Amino acid sequence: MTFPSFSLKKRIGTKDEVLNKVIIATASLVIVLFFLLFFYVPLTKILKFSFIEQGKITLEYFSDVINSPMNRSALIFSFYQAFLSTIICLVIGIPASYFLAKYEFRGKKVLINLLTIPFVLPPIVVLLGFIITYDANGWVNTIWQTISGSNNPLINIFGSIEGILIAHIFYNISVIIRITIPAWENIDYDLIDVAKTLGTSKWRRFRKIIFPQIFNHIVSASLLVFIYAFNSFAIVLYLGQVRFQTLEVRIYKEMVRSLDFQSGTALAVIQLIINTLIIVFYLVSEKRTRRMAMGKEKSLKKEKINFRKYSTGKKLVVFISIIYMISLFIFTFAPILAIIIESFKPAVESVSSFWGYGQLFSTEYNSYLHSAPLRMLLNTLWFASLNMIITILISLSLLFIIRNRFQRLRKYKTSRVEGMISYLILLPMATSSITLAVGLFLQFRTFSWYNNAVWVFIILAHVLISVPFATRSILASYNRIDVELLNVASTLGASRLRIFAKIELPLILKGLIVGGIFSFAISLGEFGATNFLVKTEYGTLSVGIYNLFGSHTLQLPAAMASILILITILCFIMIQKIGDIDLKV
Amino acid sequence: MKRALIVCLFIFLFLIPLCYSTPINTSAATDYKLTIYTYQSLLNEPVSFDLVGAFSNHSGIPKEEIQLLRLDDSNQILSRAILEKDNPTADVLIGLDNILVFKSKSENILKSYNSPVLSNISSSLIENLDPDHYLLPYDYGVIALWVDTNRLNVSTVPELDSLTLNDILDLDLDKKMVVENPIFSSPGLGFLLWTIAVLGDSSLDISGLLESDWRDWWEEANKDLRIASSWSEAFDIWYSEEADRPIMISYGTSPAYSACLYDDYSAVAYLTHENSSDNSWLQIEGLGLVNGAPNEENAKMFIDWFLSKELQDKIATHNWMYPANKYAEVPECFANSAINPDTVDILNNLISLEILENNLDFWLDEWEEIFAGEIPYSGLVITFSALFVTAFIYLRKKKKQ
Repeated sequence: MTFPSFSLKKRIGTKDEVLNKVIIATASLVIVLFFLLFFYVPLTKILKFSFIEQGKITLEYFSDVINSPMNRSALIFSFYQAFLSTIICLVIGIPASYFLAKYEFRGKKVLINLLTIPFVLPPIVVLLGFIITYDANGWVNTIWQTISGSNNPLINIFGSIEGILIAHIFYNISVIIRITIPAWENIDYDLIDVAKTLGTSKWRRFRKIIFPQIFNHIVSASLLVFIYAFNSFAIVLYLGQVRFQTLEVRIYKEMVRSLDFQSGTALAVIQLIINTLIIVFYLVSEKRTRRMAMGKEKSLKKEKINFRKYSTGKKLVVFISIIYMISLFIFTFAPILAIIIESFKPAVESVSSFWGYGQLFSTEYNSYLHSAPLRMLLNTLWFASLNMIITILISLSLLFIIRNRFQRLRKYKTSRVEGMISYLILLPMATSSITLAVGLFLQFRTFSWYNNAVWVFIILAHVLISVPFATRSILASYNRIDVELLNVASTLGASRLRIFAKIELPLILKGLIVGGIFSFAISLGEFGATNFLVKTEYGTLSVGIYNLFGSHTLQLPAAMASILILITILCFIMIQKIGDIDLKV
Repeated sequence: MKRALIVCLFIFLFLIPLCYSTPINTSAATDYKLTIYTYQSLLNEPVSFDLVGAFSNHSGIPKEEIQLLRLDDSNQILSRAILEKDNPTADVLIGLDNILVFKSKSENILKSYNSPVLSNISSSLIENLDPDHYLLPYDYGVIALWVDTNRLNVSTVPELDSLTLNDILDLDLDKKMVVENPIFSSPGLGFLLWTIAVLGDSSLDISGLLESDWRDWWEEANKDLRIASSWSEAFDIWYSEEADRPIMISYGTSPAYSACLYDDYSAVAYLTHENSSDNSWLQIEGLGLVNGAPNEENAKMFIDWFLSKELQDKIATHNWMYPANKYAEVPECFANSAINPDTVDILNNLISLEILENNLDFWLDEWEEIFAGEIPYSGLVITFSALFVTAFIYLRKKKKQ
């Protein structure tokens, strides 16, 4: 370190530091105001219901809630099905990810991407696909009845655990596959070779060398699947019927149907605590995984599938693996395909195959939908676009605060603000979307303009849900920026804004776009909060599809769902083209 | 970089068409002269009756200034009204029935309205729904078992004509039945109260007709019944032959639909006949003026019109219930197909309004507990023990070294 450069930096620093402070202050103000106004204040309003009775703080509602057998069984069931879903996803997903990591074949990347599509699909669309595929007269049961000749359906998805589990596996299997592929790829194979020459058994090599290296990835992936399954709403609401309920369904029932805010909020607080715990576990495990993966080369030797070279035993193994992959592919694609086919299948003979799409422009179903399907499509896109813009702005402000460059320059460590903010955004993520929506509703509905501005609150709810995802995506790309580069630029006299425009922004642009599109996709499919807030003409496609479940034809909802699938896949392709999708929260 | 630009461009192209259809400009300025909350299916079959248009003609209020909001079901109407009670949006609520009336009165969301048209409404309905005129009856009908006789009829099940609730269990008819969830659906709730009134509740000393306990019936039927969350979902199951459930809980007037429109008398409504009476639960639907309604005068005008003969003539053939107005027309086909509530022994009298009001939530909770699926812990035990064994082996070997 030479003195001249130090004094130079200091001199520029003072002027630049003012600007920086202004930026940070504005960003902090925006963030704090946003979260305070739209999340924390509404949340306290809700919490008042569960903690305060006639001006006194009480825990009575909690004991009431825990003593209710239905609530207790919902709590137990949430854990139960989330645990089983996770285990089954692991058992099915890990062999598949090994196959995908180990073997090289044509179209592999496409296959991996295709397998990920269910994860980004809106839950309502998944539900519709499931009904068409696994219903009493759905594809699977019809095929089974034709083959076996029996009259009994093979699977009953209504009011049964199987239905819920299959739907969760369908939804989450890609999380396991995508996260564990790098785990297999990053294993240090030199160690294995050394062990081999030392004469260790295969099992021991797996246990001592391979397993410890992939363990962290498996834990991160499992925790993610667990949290998604634990908070499942639309799927359990419809498939579980009365018989099975998760906490989220229970909260919905208490808050929206029975208007028992005391029990509803008490349940929401319990759910919040559990979610926060799991997310903290996840963040710890994710950090560890990232640290382990750092600096490692992809050392797995990839193999091309070549049957002629293999011994009979190996032939068999590879053959079975291929069959396995094909069945997995069919399992993943049957529901999606089913929706698209259903959208062209006339329910009544008198209508054409394109009736469903034609109905988009009619107002015949207005009494169910409250507005024309086309309007719903436009609403959906409009909400998603606005949500994307606001989310990106907020995530950028968050980024400014978190990566306060001057602190990094001086202390070479992350600021305390970062810790605080990651918790600030953690809480909305751990809060049920129903609670978010009810909070917004109770807080703002007394304003005279509320009824004309419902759409603003739908978008706000979407923003609260997507900000954590977008921020992480942007942060991930920011973390890849070489700090030295910023230091050099600063030493050479570049201003704070210039550094942002010339270095930071270009380098995080990919992450920014990926985060943006991801939040677009989240908003496309959001159901819980929208369904609660929605009023007359502000419906989205997800809500419309749900309202049409009860109508006699599935063609129109299938057409609407096909459009959602198309848009989601488009978003997904864009994300893939630009960068890697972070399935991680 | 180039690619990123293309994507940005793409996104902007997405945004441009949206600007023309923003939700903002269309409704921000609308100031409704009347807002009505009702449920999805009100006057909606076979084709939607243009309620807003008809009232607009009657009152002269422009169609655009009347807002008709169809919520999922009558529970939702009540929920929304309670959530909004400090600052109501709605002026009129249509579709609260003789059970929801308690909660709407205790929550104070309605305002009593002594409509001049009430003199044309049958007084027993007013007495049974709400003598204080917070909720005014507009139609009524009994709950009934709606049977598709093409698939299940007296020749296959001779007991159908003299059916009792216990016969349903004994003859395994519960395997052929679909019932709406009483928490979400009013016919479902009507049927639950039907079973309580007939079988009694031993824990509350309600003897009912048979002096046993409703829980036993539901516990036995639990595994065989199919529960649907709404009437329309139940109808889909009832209608589909693959699901093989030709009995559903519906209204005594449901057969009139196919009878009047298609001259098809194959769907028949049945009651139960314990103690050789014709038993059923009566549902009375009402509408009410919202307490603090922004447009009270228009709301009153609407209520008067809704109870007048002009609109009440439409009830039978569009809402498929009996109109509350004594002078309203009921077509011929009703007489041959529907069950007229006046000929039924109404079970409602067996449960006093006070008991009903105090125990409704308790009964629903109990019902839900009966239906709560049993979680098969075997799956959990197997997975846990497998995990445990693996961990144990793993750790022991580690220790050895």
